[in-house]
Amino acid sequence: MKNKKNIIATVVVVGVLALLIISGMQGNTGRYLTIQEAIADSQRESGKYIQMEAKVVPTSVKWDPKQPQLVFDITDGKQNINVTFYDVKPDNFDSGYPVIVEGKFTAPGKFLAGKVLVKCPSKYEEEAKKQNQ
Amino acid sequence: MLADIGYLSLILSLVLCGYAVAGNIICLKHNNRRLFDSARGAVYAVALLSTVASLVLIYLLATGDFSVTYVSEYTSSDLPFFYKITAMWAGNAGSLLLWFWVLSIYAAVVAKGNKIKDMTPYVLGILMVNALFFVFVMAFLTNPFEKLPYNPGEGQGLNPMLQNPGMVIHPVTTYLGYVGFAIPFAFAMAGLILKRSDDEWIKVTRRWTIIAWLFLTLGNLTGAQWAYEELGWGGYWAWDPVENASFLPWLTGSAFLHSVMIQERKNMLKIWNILLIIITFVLTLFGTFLVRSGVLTSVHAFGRSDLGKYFLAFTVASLVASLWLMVDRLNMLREEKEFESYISKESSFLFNNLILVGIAFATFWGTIFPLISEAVTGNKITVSIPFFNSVNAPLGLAMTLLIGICPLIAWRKSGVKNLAENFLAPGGAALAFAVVAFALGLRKPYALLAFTIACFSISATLWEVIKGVITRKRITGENVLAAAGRLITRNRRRYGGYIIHLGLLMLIVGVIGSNTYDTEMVKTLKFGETVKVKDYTLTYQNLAERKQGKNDAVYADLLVSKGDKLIGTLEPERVFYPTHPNPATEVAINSTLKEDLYIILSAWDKDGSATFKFLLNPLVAWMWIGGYVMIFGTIFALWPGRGGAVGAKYTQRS
Repeated sequence: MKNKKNIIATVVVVGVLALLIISGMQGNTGRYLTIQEAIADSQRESGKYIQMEAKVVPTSVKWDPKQPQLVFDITDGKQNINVTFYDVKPDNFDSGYPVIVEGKFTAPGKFLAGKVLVKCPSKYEEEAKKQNQ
Repeated sequence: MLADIGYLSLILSLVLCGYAVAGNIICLKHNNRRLFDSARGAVYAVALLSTVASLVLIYLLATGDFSVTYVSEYTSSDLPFFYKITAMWAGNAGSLLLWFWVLSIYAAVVAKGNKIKDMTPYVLGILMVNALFFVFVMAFLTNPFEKLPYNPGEGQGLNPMLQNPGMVIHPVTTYLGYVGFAIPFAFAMAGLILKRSDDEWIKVTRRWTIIAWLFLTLGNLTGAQWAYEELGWGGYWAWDPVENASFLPWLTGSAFLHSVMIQERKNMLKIWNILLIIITFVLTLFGTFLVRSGVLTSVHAFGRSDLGKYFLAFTVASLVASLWLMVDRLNMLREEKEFESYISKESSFLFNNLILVGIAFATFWGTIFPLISEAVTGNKITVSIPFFNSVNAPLGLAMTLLIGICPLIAWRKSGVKNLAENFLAPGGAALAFAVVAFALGLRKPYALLAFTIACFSISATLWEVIKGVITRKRITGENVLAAAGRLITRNRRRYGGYIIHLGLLMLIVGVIGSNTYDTEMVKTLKFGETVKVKDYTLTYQNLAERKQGKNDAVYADLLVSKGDKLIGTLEPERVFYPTHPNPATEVAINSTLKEDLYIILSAWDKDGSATFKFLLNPLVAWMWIGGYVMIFGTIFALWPGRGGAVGAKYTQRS
């Protein structure tokens, strides 16, 4: 058979790659949920890594720089989830832009975030506004 | 009025692109020389019109004509002149115009060069189909010259994060790179259409490929540097879908650059090369789709605009058409030879290719997995940063090792004697490094292994150069400096490649260091209070406010010393922009070759106490140094004149 060496080399690399991807997927994935799904989920089981995108309730923000600790509620307009984040307040946090929180539920309705990202008001922001109107 | 001229230029471009496509096809059917000249004229005209449209938009931005929607959305009258112009690529419509401008000028250069006479019409036809798509999008879906019903008199201003020199170079270079891969792609397709299986298309497009790769490298580099210095989170790469979008074609483009050398020298890997350039080109389109569709969650918030589906359709159409063409011509590309040995230079190229494509696949997989899982199971499952790191780190290390191995082994087949001779010095250097590093306290196994591999590859590359110099010195009798100078400048393509490798290895050293030995600390300090971050002692001295042009900045003074040595005052700040509701972080960095002390001013209180985040990022400076060494090496190899030619063919007679 032609190119036998080629094929063997390719099979080996593809095999290693598949193994790496499969083992990499263990524990490094999270589910992307809406607030509603997340609340339903937190009743059943907690401790799983999830991501949510939502708006911050401006009046709920409590920021204690001494700790540092940031506590706030996120909302989809109907239901709220209380989020605690032990790190500095991200830039643009108070701007009203949506945030992405990643972390785990510690109790129903109580979310411990390992990461809080503010969707940065980047170049495509204006398009987004137009779409929403 | 002026905006109308811009829009008119786009409409005329649309017509002329269509004409150029049709003209190039018809002239081939009827072998009509005059029609070909006319179609070529249309390509020049499109380049001219895109230039007019772009200059009009730049003029509108520079003069602040806020009756134009785009100008009013992305600039304001108090914006520095420089950033008014760079606002051209701050938004969707303007960045598409920039893309179109670059593409049409590239096409005009190809038309002027007319390097392979029978291919040019096909190449131009393919490029013009591409241009037609972009100009169509602008003409009908997102017009950069759209006007507001009234003149608001003032614009909304440019996002502060985009007001940074890095944001000026990064998008332009990324685009120059992205668009550049269209040229080798078009030539490859033209070769397939003409049923030519030779490698002339590779020779003619080699410079194009390297230029595209150069710009894409620069684009990724400046993007990472901008993120590190401006975004203020202490990192430079987060495996965000948008970052991955520019990393993917870089990986496959790098694989392509290497594998075409095998075709040039040994007439092998023909199918693979075609496949790689198709994938690379399609990935550039996929990147534009990703950026404009909003299908994936990214911190680079895109509006979910309708444009996405047009880009997806064009991406899929390009992929299907080019793969179909390739499959149709498979017979012609079949090759007779196989590798003679696993331990040969050509097989190290093969492994390098498989690994680069492997990294690209893993990155692609992680990027689109949320979409796949949603389609299959209905649940959107996201993949986090550790996935990318845990998969790509071993692959990256294997590649790092290959960079060192490749120059040490011979073409065709390496004997034991050859191996022993060549591996002794670099292997010894790496071993000595590992022992010393361990003795000095480098105990993390992963870091020790990674640094040792990098050290091996650096020594191997240098060893290869030294061997060349010694040989030349012996043959010519020149002194060392003359021998080294002539050897390198007369084989610029080869030694340029080694310079790029050394730069990449330095960059890898920076990546390893900053990922394995970083320190992070958050602390709230009162006036006069002192904090220790490893060897550094920082004293919080002052918090004050000052004017920076139109902006207000709140800054903190920290007196920094290391051991007994006073380093000076570092001033992290937060800047308030009048057109923007929130302050932006300006970090303070004390960068040395050993490590970066990176300080973020997070918050302050009425009593003057302030909260800081301190990061100690080892070896980050080597990333930027290495990156710019790569750029230098690429330019060195590209520079026209003597010494840029390819080496001899190494095909065996069978």
